[in-house]
Amino acid sequence: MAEEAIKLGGKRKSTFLDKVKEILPDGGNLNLCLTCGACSSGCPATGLADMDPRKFLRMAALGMDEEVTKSPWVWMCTGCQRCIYVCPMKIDIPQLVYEARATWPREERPKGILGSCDMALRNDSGSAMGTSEDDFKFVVEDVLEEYQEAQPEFKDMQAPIDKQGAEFFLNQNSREPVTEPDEMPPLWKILHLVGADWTYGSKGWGGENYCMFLADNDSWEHVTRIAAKQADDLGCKVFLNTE
Amino acid sequence: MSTKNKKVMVVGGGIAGLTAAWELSRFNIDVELIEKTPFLGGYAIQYCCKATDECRQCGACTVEAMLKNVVNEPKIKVHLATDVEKINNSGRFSVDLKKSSYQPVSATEGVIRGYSKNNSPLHVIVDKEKCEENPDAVPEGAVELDTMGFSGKLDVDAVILASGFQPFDAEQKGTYGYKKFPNVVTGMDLERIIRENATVVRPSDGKAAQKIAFIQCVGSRDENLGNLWCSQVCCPYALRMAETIKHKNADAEISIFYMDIQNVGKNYAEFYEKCKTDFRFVRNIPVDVFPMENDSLSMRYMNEEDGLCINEEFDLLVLSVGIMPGPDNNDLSGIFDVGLNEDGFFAGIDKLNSTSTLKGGIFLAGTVAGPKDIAASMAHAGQAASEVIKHLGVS
Ligand SMILES: Cc1cc2nc3c(=O)[nH]c(=O)nc-3n(C[C@H](O)[C@H](O)[C@H](O)COP(=O)(O)OP(=O)(O)OC[C@H]3O[C@@H](n4cnc5c(N)ncnc54)[C@H](O)[C@@H]3O)c2cc1C
Ligand code: SF4
Ligand code: SF4
Ligand code: SF4
Ligand code: SF4
Repeated sequence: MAEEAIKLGGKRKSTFLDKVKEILPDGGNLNLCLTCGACSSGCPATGLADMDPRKFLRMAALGMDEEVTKSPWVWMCTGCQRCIYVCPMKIDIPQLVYEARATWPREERPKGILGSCDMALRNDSGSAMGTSEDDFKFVVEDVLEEYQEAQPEFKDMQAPIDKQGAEFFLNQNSREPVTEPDEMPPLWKILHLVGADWTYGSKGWGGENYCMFLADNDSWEHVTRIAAKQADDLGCKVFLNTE
Repeated sequence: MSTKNKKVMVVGGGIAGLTAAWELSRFNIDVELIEKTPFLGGYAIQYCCKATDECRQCGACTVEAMLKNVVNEPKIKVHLATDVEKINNSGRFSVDLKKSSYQPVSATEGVIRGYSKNNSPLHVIVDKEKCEENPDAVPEGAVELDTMGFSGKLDVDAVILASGFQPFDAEQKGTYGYKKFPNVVTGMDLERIIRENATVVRPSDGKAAQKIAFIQCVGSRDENLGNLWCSQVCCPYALRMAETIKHKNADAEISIFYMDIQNVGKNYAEFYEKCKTDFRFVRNIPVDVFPMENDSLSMRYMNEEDGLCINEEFDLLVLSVGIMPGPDNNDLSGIFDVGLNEDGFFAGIDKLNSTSTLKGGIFLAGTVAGPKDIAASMAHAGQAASEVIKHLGVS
């Protein structure tokens, strides 16, 4: 046999594209592709794993469900949405990618993202590092004290946790309190200088949400609901998502 | 019925308006031709001839010929620098005209120039003070814009709207850097550059451009902008201009970035084959343009062969801008009480009758009703003229 050509089944079997179209507002414009390649020109993942967004969408449109959903490329898309921005037809490729991720058995999804999501599910912090509420509290107080002493112009600066009735609920990438605590104060300083009334939550302070990148809807929702409930319980008006 | 006293107003003196006026005059009808700028000819009078060793049938020279017909035809009365203000319909149309509010975009030395020797006047003074500073630079026969234009009333039996289109404003596609980087130009700019220099030069330094990229479909077929139509003219003009450049400079390296290519006239198949040997066609619309040393431009796009993104430098980048609804369409729609279609062009009754409107006595000609090239605009104008003749009962 000569070179293996791409084979299309006799019967149109594309269920994947149709399924995704059903759940996207206006069908996500998925059937309007002009094949112009603008998406691929701007995509940071073009060329990885022999794939690019145009090819991905074309294969889905041709009903190559297996090849599309199984491609490791779905884990290389950064979800940046550049492709939507430049696409003349506003086609929502990252959502297609997301649904492809969701077809993978959970335990076969990439270890790093999977582990981070599982970590976030261990306690109510939402932290992908698994940092506990107490550890977070300790680090924040410790760092705050240090800055109040070393920089007298910020001696009144606060970094409250669970302050009832604060206007803003702030979350925090949880890598920072663990590995780069000095990354936290710059934002505190800005909030202090503008006189913002804000608070962290002892629950739901972890801002990253790897369960979203894992395409694990239930866990994503779980992590998000904890943070949202904490903000509501504290009576905060605005949720400042720093991630 | 006799044609005595039958009079028709044509709004817009581009190729469609000129053609309609001329065709009507063939039937002995008096025509009042209203043009808001100080010059007849519209966009198409500004184009370059795209002949190589043979005529490429771009249609540009037919505009010149039609302009000459019209200015020498006593039955056609031309009102330059004039706008329609109001219209009353009680059997005949009673029209109020006023001096146009037209403002030229740029005028070094205070004088603007028409594009054809058949433009009369050829030079128009738009800034008197500047001209007084340097009176020797003012060409003979120049007329002051302030003295042009007609204010007053007209009674006419029918109206043809031929107010044309506007080219897509490429600044809306910000990542291409139009007006930020001097060597990013539109197809419209390139028409003028070739017409003025007989070859293609870089705006930044006036040197011949060696490595040139055309990006197709800029502003057309774009749901993000709400412009779903194909403009029909930008593939033909881009390929013809590219052949013109190649004919003058066989070493020029020309790349065409495209989605798909539209038909380019009668000998399309043959012409396209030649294009394919003369240029590189890349089926990919680039997105990012970065300025380099020397005012060159670096573009990132996906390479079809291996699917990888590459960066490539070009001397000159041409954006093939398309045909957009005319800037006055909303105003004119109000004045004449004729509706626009969902794209913003004037709506004909239906596809087969795209020159008649729902309003009796008001007709459409040319790109006012949607994208068309010169030849199609002329054919459309001819059709509009014959509909008017039917309407007036003239034969
Ligand atoms: C970059 C570019 C290159 C092109 N190259 C080619 C080519 O090589 N060959 C080809 O066949 N086609 C070409 N075309 C298409 C061509 O320009 C059109 O087919 C043609 O100009 C249409 O003529 P028109 O009379 O309908 O409109 P226009 O050329 O727009 O003329 C309309 C006239 O009406 C006047 N007007 C507007 N509003 C009013 C008002 N309210 N009152 C009074 N007057 C008004 C305008 O001032 C203008 O003079 C090109 C188009 C573009 C954008
Ligand atoms: S969202 Fe994914 S596919 Fe789209 S440009 Fe970003 S990385 Fe590429
Ligand atoms: S940019 Fe949009 S229209 Fe163009 S190839 Fe990509 S998905 Fe298709
Ligand atoms: S190329 Fe165009 S302008 Fe030149 S002769 Fe032919 S039709 Fe006329
Ligand atoms: S004529 Fe060509 S460049 Fe113009 S909109 Fe149509 S396909 Fe695009």
